Amino acid sequence: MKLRISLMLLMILFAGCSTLTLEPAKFDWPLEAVVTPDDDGIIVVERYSIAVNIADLFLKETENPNSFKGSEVRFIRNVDGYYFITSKGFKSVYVFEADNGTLSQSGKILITENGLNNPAFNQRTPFIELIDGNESYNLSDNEIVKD
Amino acid sequence: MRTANKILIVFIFTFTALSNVTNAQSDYEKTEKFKESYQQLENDIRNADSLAECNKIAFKIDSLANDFRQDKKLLDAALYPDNFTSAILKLKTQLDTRKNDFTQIVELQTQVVELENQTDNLNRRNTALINEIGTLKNSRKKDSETIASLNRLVSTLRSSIRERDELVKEIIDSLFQEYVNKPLTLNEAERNAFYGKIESGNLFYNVQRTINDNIQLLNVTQFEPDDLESLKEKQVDFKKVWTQLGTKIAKVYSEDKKGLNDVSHINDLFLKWEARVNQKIWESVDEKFQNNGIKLSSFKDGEQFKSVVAAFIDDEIKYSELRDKKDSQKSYSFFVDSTWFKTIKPDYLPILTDYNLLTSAQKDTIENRISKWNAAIEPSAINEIYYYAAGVVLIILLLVGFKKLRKKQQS
Repeated sequence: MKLRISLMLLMILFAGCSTLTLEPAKFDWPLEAVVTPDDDGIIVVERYSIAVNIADLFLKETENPNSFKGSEVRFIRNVDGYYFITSKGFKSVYVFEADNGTLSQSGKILITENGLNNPAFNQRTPFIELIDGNESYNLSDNEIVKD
Repeated sequence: MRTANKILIVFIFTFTALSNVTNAQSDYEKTEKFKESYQQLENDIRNADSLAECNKIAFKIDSLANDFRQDKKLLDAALYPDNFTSAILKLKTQLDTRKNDFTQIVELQTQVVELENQTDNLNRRNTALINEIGTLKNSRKKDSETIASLNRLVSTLRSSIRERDELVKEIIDSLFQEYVNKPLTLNEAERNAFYGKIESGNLFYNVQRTINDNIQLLNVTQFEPDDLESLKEKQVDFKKVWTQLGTKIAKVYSEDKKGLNDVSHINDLFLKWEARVNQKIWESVDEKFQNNGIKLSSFKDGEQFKSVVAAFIDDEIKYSELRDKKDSQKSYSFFVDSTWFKTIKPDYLPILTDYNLLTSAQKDTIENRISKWNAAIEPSAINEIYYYAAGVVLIILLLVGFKKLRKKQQS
């Protein structure tokens, strides 16, 4: 009898703890956002109600704490919910995921050692297309995907 | 054959390479390009100043739709909450509304030309009538036939001026109905259209002519209170219409000295017209007093009228003690009964107070003076009433006393 009651209690406990998964879920933005940081390095994308401070990203990429000023940040989200950020002069595309009130870096994809001249993202589900002049790259959340 | 194949392969390779270059285009740039073109077309629609220009814009809208149709899916998402189709439809609706404005304007301009012709005829007729009236007034003949003829001419002139005034108001309404409710700042195209309408409607000439003819009419004849009211109403209405447009007209003509002079001249004429109508009303009030033998000092506004009447009544009260009672009562009767209550109060006070020529306080001052005057000339009558009442009371007391005495005697 005691065993039965214990088993029932355990079942109830596990049922309460199991997580609910909704699928499929798509997070892709149809269009990249092109935004300019304010004096504190904060960029705001009103359409998707997102605001983030990118000062540390520029510091990491350029080692100059003021390099974000006057820059244009290209920002897009892929179908799985990863955020891709880059800017003119960057060598890489940085990949982030949302994490409890922050964007935490999940990847960094090196594109060119010479720095990007005129980068732009396109949504090409399941990839993010990065174009720079005549060059174009399909990006997953951690690498350049070869054709 | 081999060479031909080689050329074909090179061609296909080159074409494919070029296609890739073409494909490497930013969706963001495409969207921005669409938005820029869209914005430009919206501005073009706003600034269009003819139907022909609207038709050119319609062609540009079709080109925009064709150029971007292949990116419809992208634009549907990028233009959220609009989409490609609804955005193009919005532009077309804006263009239709603008086209409709021009269709209305063309209709109104046709109407204005017709009204212009009628106004010209009436202007010529009025000039002839005014000249004829002047000739008759100056002639030495004052027989009944001449007077009757003069009255007929004045009557014709009045109706002719009224008819012409209505036409001028119609011209103004037709020309400006679309501008009156717009904000003060007109864009370049609207300013040009507005300017063109003022010129095509011969507006300045017609407004000046209207005011001058109305002033002339006031000079050539006398009016009854009803006529005066309608003349005042017309003057106030016309001024209101002019004031609504005046600010816009002054802005349109801000760099045209002649235009500004015309506007300023018309503003002066409106003041002159207003002063003349008011003067005519006060003259008519004075005439009513004079007709009953009451000579008041001259007055030309409410304050002066109040002072003159108050001074007249104060004098009458002062001299009523020295004069024969009957003379004072006669003077009172002419002033108060035959003039104030019979004519001024029912016929003139409504016009005077409605158009703020006489304030309520000024009217009350005059009526208080009249009450004082009444009290001053009727004291004996009041005393007589007291005497009669005292007599009646005395008789009643005597009767009561007499009855009580008889009762006592009987008991």
